[in-house]
Amino acid sequence: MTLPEPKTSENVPVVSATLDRTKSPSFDEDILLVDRFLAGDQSAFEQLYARYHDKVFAISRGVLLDQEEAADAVQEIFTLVLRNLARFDKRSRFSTWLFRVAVNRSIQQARRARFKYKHVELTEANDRVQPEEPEYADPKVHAAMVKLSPNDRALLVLFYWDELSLNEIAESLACNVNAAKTRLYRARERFRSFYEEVPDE
Amino acid sequence: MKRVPREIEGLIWRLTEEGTPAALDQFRARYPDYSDILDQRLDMVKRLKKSVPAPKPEARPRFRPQPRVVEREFRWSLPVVVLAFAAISVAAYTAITAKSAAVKVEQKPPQAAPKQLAQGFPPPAEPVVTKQPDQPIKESPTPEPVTEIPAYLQPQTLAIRGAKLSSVLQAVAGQGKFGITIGPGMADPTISVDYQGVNSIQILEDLGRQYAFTPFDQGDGSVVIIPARDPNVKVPTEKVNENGETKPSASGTTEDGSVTIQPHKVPANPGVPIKSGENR
Repeated sequence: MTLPEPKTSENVPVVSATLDRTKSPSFDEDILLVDRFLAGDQSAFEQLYARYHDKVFAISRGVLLDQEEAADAVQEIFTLVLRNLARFDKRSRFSTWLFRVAVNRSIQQARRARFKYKHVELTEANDRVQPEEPEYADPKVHAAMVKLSPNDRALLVLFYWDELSLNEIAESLACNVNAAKTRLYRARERFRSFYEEVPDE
Repeated sequence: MKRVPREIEGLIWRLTEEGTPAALDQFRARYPDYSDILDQRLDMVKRLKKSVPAPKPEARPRFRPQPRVVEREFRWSLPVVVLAFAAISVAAYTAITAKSAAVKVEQKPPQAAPKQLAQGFPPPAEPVVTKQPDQPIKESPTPEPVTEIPAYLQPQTLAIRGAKLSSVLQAVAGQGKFGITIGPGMADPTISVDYQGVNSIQILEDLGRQYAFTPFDQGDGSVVIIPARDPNVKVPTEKVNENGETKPSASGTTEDGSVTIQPHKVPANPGVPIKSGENR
């Protein structure tokens, strides 16, 4: 990357990620596995699950901010995919379709959980905030992520953790690329704002 | 925290995402004031990327299809919103309907004057106040009380040439829409009349002065013509003009010499005069 000249300042060089950052070599393999599963090969779905479990878990974990809930959400997401795989029209990548299901399901779960935790007893809440192992390696990042909305968290997770391109993020969020770019920019700015509010330890 | 210009902010994000070490050094050299911000941003993104949860492969749970996964949650908000909207619509409709019904005020017509009642005037139209739901109250203009003038008091035009007096009287009665009875002994000369803008009573009175009779209002919509004869007065002479009409002459005799007409003499007690006579 070369630095642009100062005079040629673009007003909105907001998100500069290349559109095709992720060239999934497993594209054809995914389709083959889907076809095999639809033909009756149950092991094909096991392979899809093994291949995408971590990415789907990262999405759920990033949106839900809870290890156990994320693990349950992953099972639910793959169950939904298993039931509805025949509806996958193969116009997009299998991974994109899977991530869309994962994002929607995780955001839905996060909203439900937010409502649920409004009514948690104080003793229960104390039990919750002291897990045996810290869920986030970086507490400052965690503190900033907690303040974000589930939608913003999903965008950051897809971009930074799953390293999807803007095209893939747009497909995963069922919007166009420009909308995904704008939403990602805003989510990133909000994260930066919250992150800078958190004092360094 | 210093404020970063928008283009510098965008550049910092680009460098944070995909900046090479050379590009970072170039930025620091060109914008030394913002190099600390670039470093903070790089650190933030680095920490964010490192926070990705990486479960160990052996810890990966085996896939267990969930028996009860609701694909799409039933949203209570939708029926609640629909019901609320329906309730609000019904309430608004009811309120508007009740309000408009309450605003319709039937005003009692003002008391008609006794004279108007006697003459059978219709009561004035009732003003109806209507209120539109979103408009201020508009009161229909109160109509002026319409005084229906009887036909015999309405100005008329009567032009007859060369007709008998009795026919002229019948014509006057016909226009005034009242009955007329001509008393016995009434002379019946051929006359010509031309009245414009005078009512029937005035015509009768004027004819009575000319041809010596008195119209008496009977109070039931009819008029009796009583001839007035005064033997001391010479009967006016009727002269036939070029149209064949006769007019009372100055001598007061007609050609047949049988009738003496004193146009302006009426009996001492002619009875109750017709009310319309006051109009003169």
